Amino acid sequence: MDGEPSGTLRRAGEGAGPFGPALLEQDFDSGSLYLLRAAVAAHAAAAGLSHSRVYDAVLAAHELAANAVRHGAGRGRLLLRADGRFLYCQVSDDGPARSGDQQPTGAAAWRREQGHGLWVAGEVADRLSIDHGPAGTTAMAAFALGSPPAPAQPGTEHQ
Amino acid sequence: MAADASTQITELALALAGAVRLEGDLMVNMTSLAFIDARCTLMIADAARAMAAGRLVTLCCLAEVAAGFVRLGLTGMPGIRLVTADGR
Repeated sequence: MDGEPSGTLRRAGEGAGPFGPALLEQDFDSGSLYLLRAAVAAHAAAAGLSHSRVYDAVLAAHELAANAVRHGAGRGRLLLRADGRFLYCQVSDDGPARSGDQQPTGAAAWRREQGHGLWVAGEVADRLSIDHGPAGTTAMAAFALGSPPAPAQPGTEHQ
Repeated sequence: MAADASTQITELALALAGAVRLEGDLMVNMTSLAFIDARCTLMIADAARAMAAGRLVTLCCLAEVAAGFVRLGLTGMPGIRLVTADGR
């Protein structure tokens, strides 16, 4: 169930780092993924992503966070930054490295249950990196600002 | 208060298992669904492939949700029709 986030929420312009100022910093656990998605959607749209790319950013953020919840520490922290070229979505947790964190590659990766969320995050993001260290796991997805792909047309039928 | 994720996953799995047993063509209307995660997209795609044997399965959803099914290769599969509608 989704409840109140347990972390901090930063406003735009605070804590500028190597990937631009922090737009959002929010802790999450299994009960706060809905609120996390809503916050990411609002800030990604404000940063300039198109509607369809906002959805992609929300999807990637959700999958990275859900991976930390399911396979990592059970909770983590999401940080959104923007530097004018990219929107960066960083998700970190202090759990141990796990096999599901290996970034899947290849066309058949979707068949895997484990790692499928990371595969999807890699598909929708322009860049995805996953780093393991003594302090835990950090994944970062980047979305280019300013050149969104053409959105799917309403009413389109695929067969 | 919303059900927790594991309960929702179980309910979706039960609904899809029931749908697989139905006879005749099927339409799954997901147009009111604003977000779907990778895990549930995969479950629905797997069910659609199972249901599509010998009948037509139509998945109707918003473009962003449909993109998840396209990523899984559902377009062009015999017996599966993906229709996107913009509810905004």
